[in-house]
Amino acid sequence: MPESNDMPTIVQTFGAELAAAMRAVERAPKARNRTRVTLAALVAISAATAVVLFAVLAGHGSGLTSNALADPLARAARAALRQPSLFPHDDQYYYVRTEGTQPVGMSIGISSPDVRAGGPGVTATETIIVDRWQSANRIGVQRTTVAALHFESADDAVAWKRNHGVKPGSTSSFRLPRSHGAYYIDIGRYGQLTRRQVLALPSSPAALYARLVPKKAIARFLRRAPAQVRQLEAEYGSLKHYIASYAFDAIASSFEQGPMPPALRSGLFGALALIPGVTNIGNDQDLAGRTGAAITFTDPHHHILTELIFDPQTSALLGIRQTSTRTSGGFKAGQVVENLSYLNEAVTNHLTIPHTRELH
Amino acid sequence: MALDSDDISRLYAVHAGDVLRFFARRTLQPEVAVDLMAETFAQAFVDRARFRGSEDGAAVAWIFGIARNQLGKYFRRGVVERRSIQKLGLQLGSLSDPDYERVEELAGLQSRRIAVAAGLAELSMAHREALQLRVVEERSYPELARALGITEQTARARVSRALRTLAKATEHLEESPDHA
Repeated sequence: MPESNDMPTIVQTFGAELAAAMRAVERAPKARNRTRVTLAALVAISAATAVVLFAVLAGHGSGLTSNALADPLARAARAALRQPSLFPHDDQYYYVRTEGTQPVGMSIGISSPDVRAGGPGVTATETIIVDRWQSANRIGVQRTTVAALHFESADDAVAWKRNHGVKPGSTSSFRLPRSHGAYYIDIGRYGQLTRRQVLALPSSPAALYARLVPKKAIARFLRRAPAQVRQLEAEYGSLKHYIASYAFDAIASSFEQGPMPPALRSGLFGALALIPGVTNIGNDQDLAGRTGAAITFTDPHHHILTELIFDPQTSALLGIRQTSTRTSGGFKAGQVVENLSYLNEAVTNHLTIPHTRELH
Repeated sequence: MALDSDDISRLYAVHAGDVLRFFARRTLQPEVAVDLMAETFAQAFVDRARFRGSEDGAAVAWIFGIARNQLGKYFRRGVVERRSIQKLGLQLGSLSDPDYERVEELAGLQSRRIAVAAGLAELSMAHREALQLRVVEERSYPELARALGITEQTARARVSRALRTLAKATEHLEESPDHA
């Protein structure tokens, strides 16, 4: 445990509880391994799919535009190349406004002496509007406004007020530190790509996918870490599912971060189509009520279904919705864990709300 | 090297403070910093099979990679995820006053306050008032000008000068990138 005369009590307490929880997990009966997909088969499937989809995206293919998954993603990939760049220079800001909802278990700023043993003190869903100005080389700002609160019971509403929980309309702002020239694109070394490196990333879906799922590194991992491979197979059902989860997370995370060059955006839409398990569910509405094309992916280890809603005409990411697929960890099956809409975005030189392109 | 609970506990014992400091300096909010630190280590255990290093140094770098990812998510979404904490069946209580102050102390936030206070003390009453109305009360420049009985141009100039003075007072506290 951390030195008791250095660390806050909550850090020491959490450390002890974390240790006990981890040991309990390790002692629990393990899930049975499922069928293993060999690396060679995985790469062969991915390569074949990449060739076909690359041909479609390059406009050379025919007879494949009815591909249920590729079509909206292919359209978004082409649309991305037609959009003006929203990739800022290091001394500019990328501005974005989002609206999101979140269960209160993940909220901050609540002091709750009424926390009951074994559960959170209050249950609510917060709707927040976030204005964010982020820059590689300048101090940015994030301003959060609580737009609404929804409580599951009248008792919760009373407890919230008694414990001085945030009120609708309240606003908080804080500085975003400069990232010292780094961009948080999750292709390669996360959080450490410079502008030049981002611009030098490949733009073809196949090449991007190969960077996310590097054959040689995976082969080395399989040879050198059989115990970890077995654990990943137990957690994800198969190594194929683990690799797919990893690749999907990396791309979704990069889209969420916002600023990227048009060619990279285009390539990433195409790369999404290469990931096994990504499913086209047709159209859906985001939190703000806008309709867009929707794709989903289920992470079998974390039991989360992620839905990306986008406009295939403009490539704009409209919203992200995450739903728990299993009752566990405080969430009920089918419960929306997070719901986020992207409302406006722009590149600006100042910490003001610019005339923005409204998304969709 | 596969990580197990003992490894994560050992890494927590040695590096929880560093990770907490990392978050506190970047969010300037002790409660958020504690939440993020806890979620980072919980996620490190939940995703331990993803670690591909072979030594402690690599494990520490991997944990800071998770930390940066969590920070990015927090900045994008405005809230702290607690998925891994909840997956492990854990809860994080609220921060007591002594713990709050201790986190501020660890992050050097107190020195920032002192620097800001020193900067504010250098300002004239007129500049301090303009800054208060603009930054704390978030008034627009026209409102500020009306409140102070000055032109909008003068209002902008006073706020700008006040911010420059504060920036100069705190510039020695800007730090280079943390642990990779």
